[in-house]
Amino acid sequence: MARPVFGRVRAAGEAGSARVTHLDRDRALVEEARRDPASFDALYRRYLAQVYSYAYYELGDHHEAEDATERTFLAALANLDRFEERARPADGDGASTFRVWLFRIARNVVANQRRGRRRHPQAPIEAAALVADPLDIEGGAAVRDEAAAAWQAVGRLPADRRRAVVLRFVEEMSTAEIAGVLGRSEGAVRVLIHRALRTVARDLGRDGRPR
Amino acid sequence: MTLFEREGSEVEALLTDRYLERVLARATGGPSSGPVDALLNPVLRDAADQLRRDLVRVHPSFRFEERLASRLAEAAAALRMPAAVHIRGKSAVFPELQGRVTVLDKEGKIVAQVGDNPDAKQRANFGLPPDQWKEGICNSPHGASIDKDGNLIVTEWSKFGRVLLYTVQR
Repeated sequence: MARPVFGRVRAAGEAGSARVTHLDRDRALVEEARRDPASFDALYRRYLAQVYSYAYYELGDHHEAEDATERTFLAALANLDRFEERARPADGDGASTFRVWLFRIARNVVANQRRGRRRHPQAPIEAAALVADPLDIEGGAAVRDEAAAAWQAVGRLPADRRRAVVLRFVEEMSTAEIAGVLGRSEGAVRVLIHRALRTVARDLGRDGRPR
Repeated sequence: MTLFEREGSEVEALLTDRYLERVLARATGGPSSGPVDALLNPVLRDAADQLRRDLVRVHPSFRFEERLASRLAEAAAALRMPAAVHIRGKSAVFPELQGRVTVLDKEGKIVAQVGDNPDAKQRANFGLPPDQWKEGICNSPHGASIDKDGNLIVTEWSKFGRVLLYTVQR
């Protein structure tokens, strides 16, 4: 059974006092799933869309994303006993090392799938058309064009920068979480995202220079 | 090291990080602007704002969600301490530490189960001596794979080490 991890952190405005915080928000669900594997469903429902979305941005194809998602959750279920919670006080109240662990599995599954097909991922441009509000007919085209341009710009980024951007903007992960998923330092992740934003800005013509 | 002792690009990477933290927190009621915003290059701010707006989460179909949920439920119900999963084509192979190997199909139905050890004391028993092993019966499967001919290879968690091979009968 996982050892409880509690950290003493200072809350804002509580100079000199301390409170005890529960660090990994998924601990109760993970422990329940370890006791009764049927309870894994709760973790699956919580993270399905995130894992699927990550796979879709990486692979650019719904069927391949479904395949990668399936492999990820089956592997997570099979290996749940090996998961070790590693939340630190610095990770804050909402941290989930389970999510980091799950995304590490997803990253490996996607990498294997890409190696298997031996071709470049396609930017999921057509999906950008689905993102715009279908009821806004006049404004829709412009919004779709802008969204498609953003998706294309991200799709053209080097793999490590693209992954960091997708985890930051789509999955809304913290720098620390992304570092855990990618196996890099937090400083390296900050640099990856900063460089990615510079490239995207140039690609979208936002830096004033001709494209 | 303070912000002012860092390299220029390092400072910009840190400012970008702070800005993104705030932009991403906005959706959950965070502050609409922060003290370092003005220090960040507006080109980077605009690019960040556009990605925040346009990179949306893509959801799977309801049909897929329910199909995978059933498969996971079947796997959870059918397995005895699964230690790993190996996927080959439409089959998923689970070596189960509690003395068995199960193969499931895409729908989560059991295709085959091999090596089932009826003796609970021998299951997941790291120190079980080789003179108590039985041919074709698993003690503590920990890894499994299927080769190109469809044969099943199983490795066990044992201080003596053990590999089993189940060949396909044609």
